[in-house]
Amino acid sequence: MPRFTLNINDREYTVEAPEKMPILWALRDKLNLTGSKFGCGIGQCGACTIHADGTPIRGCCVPIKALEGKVLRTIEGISVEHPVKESWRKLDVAQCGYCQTGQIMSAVALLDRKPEPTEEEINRAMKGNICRCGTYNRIKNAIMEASKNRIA
Amino acid sequence: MRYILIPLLFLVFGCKENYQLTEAYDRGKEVYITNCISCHGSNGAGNLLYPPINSRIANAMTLERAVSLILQGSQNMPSVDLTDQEITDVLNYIQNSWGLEAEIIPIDSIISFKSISKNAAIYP
Repeated sequence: MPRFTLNINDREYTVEAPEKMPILWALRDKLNLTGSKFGCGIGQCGACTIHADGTPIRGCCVPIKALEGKVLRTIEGISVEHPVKESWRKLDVAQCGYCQTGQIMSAVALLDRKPEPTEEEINRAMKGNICRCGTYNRIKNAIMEASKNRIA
Repeated sequence: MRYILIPLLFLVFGCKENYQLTEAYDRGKEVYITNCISCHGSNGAGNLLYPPINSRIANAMTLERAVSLILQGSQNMPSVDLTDQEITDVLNYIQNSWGLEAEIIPIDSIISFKSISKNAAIYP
């Protein structure tokens, strides 16, 4: 099997895997970074969202070979003091929590691109992350809160 | 006076059009990041499993196919739930990125293709 060197959360990892293996499998099963969750497996739910070069991607449908040489970030790479995680705790966003790592990754990427998103921009950017508990309103409020705190 | 006024008018209206284009482009980019980027990549080149989309939509038939793929999906592509405006924005973004340049596709033609593709068979 080919070997791949991946830059995840500012650390180099070497993985031996088939080149078509989705990155989520490598993260969860081989590197033990189990923060990113497996949801639907076809890029429809967003639970497996990670960053590649700062843009949010769905880990379940991107093969490991396509991510060589890119800077990857998973939920483990977002610090506990990050404004998004702070506001998530403050507003008690999570209910069952399964989708939340994906939601946070999408929210962080949104705030990196647009530090002051409008409600419409939040809805558009978070459309790819679904939540079966329906915590959408709290997610939206938490993103607005984090946006305020980042600037302050 | 006339010689100044006419170029000035061109300038004003030209700028307005450009402004609308950049706004639509930005919206389209957001739609692309949320819905397309995982499989088709940040440069539209696809990856090992999914096809590139960084070529020009040559004619009405390929535009119709693009709209149909978005709305109905195919064997490997799930359908994407986008509004007419989002489809227009994202197609215009794709058609004007990565070195491509094309005429702006108006929302009306997306709506007309939508009604056609509803009746069409799902593409393989």
